[in-house]
Amino acid sequence: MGGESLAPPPGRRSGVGGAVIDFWRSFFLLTGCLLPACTGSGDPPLLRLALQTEPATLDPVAAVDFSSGTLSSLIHSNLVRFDAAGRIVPDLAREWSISEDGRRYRFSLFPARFANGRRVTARDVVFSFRRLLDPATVSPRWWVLEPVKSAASFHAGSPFSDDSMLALDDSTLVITLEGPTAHFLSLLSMPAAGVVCAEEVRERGADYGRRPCGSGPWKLSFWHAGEEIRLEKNSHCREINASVEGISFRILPESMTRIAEFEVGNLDILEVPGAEINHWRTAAPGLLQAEELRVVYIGLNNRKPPLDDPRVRRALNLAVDVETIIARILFGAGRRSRGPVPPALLPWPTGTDLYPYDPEEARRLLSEAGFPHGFSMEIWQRENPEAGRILESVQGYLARVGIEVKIVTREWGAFKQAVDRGTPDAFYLDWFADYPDAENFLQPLFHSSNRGGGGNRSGYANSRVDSLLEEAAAQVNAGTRTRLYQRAEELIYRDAPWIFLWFPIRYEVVSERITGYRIPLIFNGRRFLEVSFSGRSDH
Amino acid sequence: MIKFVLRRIILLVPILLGVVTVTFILMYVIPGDPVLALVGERYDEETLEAKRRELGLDQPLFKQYLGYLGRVSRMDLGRSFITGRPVTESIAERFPRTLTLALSAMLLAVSGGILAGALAAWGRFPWLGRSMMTLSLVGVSIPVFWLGLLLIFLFSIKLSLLPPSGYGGGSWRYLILPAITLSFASLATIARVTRSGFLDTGGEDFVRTARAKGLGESKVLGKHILRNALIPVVTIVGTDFGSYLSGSVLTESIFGWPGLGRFIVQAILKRDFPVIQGSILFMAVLFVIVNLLVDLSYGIIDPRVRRMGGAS
Amino acid sequence: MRGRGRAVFFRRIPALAGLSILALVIILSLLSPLLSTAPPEEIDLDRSLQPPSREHPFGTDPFGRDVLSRVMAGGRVSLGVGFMARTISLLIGLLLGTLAGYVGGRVDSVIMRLADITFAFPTLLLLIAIMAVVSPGVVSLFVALGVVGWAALARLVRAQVMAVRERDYVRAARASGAGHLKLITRYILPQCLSPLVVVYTLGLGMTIMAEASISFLGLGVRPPAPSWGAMISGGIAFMRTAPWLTLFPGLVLTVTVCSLNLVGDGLRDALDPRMVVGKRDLSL
Repeated sequence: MGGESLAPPPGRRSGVGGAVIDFWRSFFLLTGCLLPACTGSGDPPLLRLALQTEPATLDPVAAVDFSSGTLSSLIHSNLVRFDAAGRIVPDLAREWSISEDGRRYRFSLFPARFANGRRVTARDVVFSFRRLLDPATVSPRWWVLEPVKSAASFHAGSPFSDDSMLALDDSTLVITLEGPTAHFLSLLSMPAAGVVCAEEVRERGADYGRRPCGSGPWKLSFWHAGEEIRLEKNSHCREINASVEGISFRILPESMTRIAEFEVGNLDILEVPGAEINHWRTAAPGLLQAEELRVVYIGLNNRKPPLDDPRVRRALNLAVDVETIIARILFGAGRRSRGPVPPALLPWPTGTDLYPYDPEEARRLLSEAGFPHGFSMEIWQRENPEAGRILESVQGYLARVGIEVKIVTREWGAFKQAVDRGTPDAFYLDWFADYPDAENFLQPLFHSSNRGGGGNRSGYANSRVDSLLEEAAAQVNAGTRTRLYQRAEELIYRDAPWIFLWFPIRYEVVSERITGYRIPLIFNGRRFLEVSFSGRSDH
Repeated sequence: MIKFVLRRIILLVPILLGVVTVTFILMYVIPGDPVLALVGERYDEETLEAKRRELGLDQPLFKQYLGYLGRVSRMDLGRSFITGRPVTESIAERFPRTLTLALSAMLLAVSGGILAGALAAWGRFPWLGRSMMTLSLVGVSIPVFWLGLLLIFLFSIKLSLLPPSGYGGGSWRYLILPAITLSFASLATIARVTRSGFLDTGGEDFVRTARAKGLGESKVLGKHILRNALIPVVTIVGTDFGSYLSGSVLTESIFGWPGLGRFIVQAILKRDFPVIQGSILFMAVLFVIVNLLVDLSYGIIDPRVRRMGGAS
Repeated sequence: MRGRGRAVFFRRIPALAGLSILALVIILSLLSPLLSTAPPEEIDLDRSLQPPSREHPFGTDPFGRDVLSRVMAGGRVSLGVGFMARTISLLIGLLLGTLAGYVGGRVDSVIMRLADITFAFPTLLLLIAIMAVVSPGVVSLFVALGVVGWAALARLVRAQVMAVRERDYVRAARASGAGHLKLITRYILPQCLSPLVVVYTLGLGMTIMAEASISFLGLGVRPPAPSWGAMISGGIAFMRTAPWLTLFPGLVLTVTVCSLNLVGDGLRDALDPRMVVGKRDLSL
């Protein structure tokens, strides 16, 4: 477990400290024998990273949280995947073609191998996809393949129809869709569409999530719950990293620990927490930063008076000084959003800032809507200290235009249940991209058919927006599609179903040991294949 | 004696049953649908229903309770809602770490407490005694979590001597601060008791006799005073066991120590019922058994307890 | 002899000191709305995270709020929750303890088994389990704390009642036809008063600490309501950049619990010097 590498660099241990430490060393000798044994020195070159939460599972069909998705994507490969810039690139599929009508996808596969050495065939892909859709699997992510022909009816209990996914031979696969779906390849890049090794799934059953076997560039070496997950190079993979032998993910939920471990040289990449950004801006000249594909917002209940009045919702947007909150509470780690879609995915039409900070205008709009003295409302949040800090400042701003806000905190399950039923007046939430496509920020969040658990939690409904979104989803021409989405976004922005807040900016510092790392646009675009050790390793 | 032990063990049965029932009821009345936490973003009603069926949450209350009793009696604490791992497996993995921390803290409390108490009773340096006693007063009043943060602030942030938190794969450097934090209240109590034990015993007749017989001061101290003064310390170590378990919840949370206490807190934040239920049940049963052992050992030391034992 | 006299002397000074500090904390908390320079909830992001200064002796938090004002306001919550919780424990403990001790028999054994079950849980664990399932808030918090603390008081009352029940003057009163209620309130309970006062006070410190711990774990009082425990946990992220956010609330909390313990010890010495109060009797 890298016991040796955990010691601080020699220079840091002062004389007195050393003596104190030696005292404690002998003091704890007795208890020391209760500890798990360490593996000692001579470790292969490891990339040492931190995870904030422990993954729930490494099984693609069960992974819903960030850590699970990230790690499962390193272990399994998909037909296609995202590169660091968010472009679709070959993974298992060497090349593919799409029929005229946009319904038939034909993939030819590379001769790839699973971590156990067996050749990956088109039948493995069919097996994995069928497993995802199978009602017996109870996968919360089955909808990833919903566009596939008769997938929904198979999921609902009808027999599987073989012709929707057809393995023509070992390396050729044809998938037929219900209708043209412009973002289908993006869906295929999601962790849930990872290809698993059929015989290992059968053998390991429910335990597969802890002992996965895929054809990705890394394979699971060990998983010490609550401590560390170690991946090692999958030598059977087509793309392997030349200089990194393995990746150690240590589970370190406390930001204090992560920072300290990075500072003593035990971590190679550190995501800088909000409260420390200013410190690192000066301390680490090589600070990396990237806008996340994530939108933070306060959803307003569009079906509940007085928030059903667009004037009231606009007034709320005008009353909150988002720029100042970003500067003071987030220490600059965000970009104010004008509309729900990150600009990296959909360029904003220029000149549209409908909601600058303007409490006067907010008060005027409120009077116009019949609330000259404001009203009181509840904003719900899930248990999360940062959310608390943000909502407290929003509360302060809204108080200035006469709106009295009560902050209600619930744990995730209770929060989600209430929000999906439309109980709270408003709720603080974020949405992060499953795949880098404007569709992912518009269709689930604003199409009226997705109200509630489907993602449209503010209960927004605008038939113009609905038809624009439907038109765009079936549109194969990229330029037309972009224009349709821009029009939809503009309508949404005007209707103000949310208090639009920001797109977070992620800051990372990288140790001097490694080169070639960049923050990917989307979380599963990170595969650590370009990373290498510079000569300055302290090993 | 055997009768006494047997009676205590039989009395354990309704208590354990009560403990099981309380943990079951607590987790049943939980607000919010646990299934929602499992499905992630974008889900539909059918998925929820299927998950509920899979986890047996669609059964009536009484049936769930009977099922729970049956499983518990077979040492099966169910599987985590979130990871699908057997709870017993996770407990087996994490409890040794909690035990390591608790035993280190106990060792520290006993050795440090006796040393501090003895120094305070010595009387050679009155200021030392007084400051020790003030410190011990602070020791029982200082909140565990704040003490932990102070130590982190001092030793990790200001002096950069020790890691602020984490497990470090079991490295002893990571153990020091949490062990001190967890031991502090107990150490302070032991110091106080030791001091008054020394002072009281120092005035007893047999000690004066020993001194009058011309025994050396170190012999008097070692042979007579020490032994008698230390009996109450044993009592404290026994009764403080619960504090070590409770304290480990806070200490492990602050120091990121991946033991059972933090496991419980994280499960609570995620509302992972089987894990909360199973771990709290485990802790409570452990606590009951240790208390029984402590009580029984008093029965051996002091036969009067045997008559009082069953009365409460 | 000299040593003994000094000990008594030293015992009295600390108790007095504790009492005065406690009084100070209570007065400052109660008067906090009048004393504060700014309302504790008023946000001014331009003043955020200022270190301690003459204007803000405890510094400001990320929202530019004065930490001293918030600590004083938090005192109202912490002390209020502590007193309410202790009083609930006392009422339940009195009722069930008297019932068990006076009626005896099956009632006694049922109540005592319930107490055993309560005792079977490490207290903080039971508390966090309860707080995880009830809807969060101040009321849930003191009810939970109160309910968890009943068993120790019930045992104490029961033991006292059983001891007093058979005393001559009680028998005499019973013989002269006094009703049960009169017997209990007039003759039996007054005898339990002094140990109850001691245990109540000593338990108060523990209860306030438990409240802070629960709020620290994020299961008790929620922000923006000021609470010492929640303020400390909210400051952890700023330990390196703004340590005053964690240091001051913790200091005040420690001083308060400390003074309560001093007062409790003093009361014990004054009222019932032979009484031994173990940790488990306080149940927290």
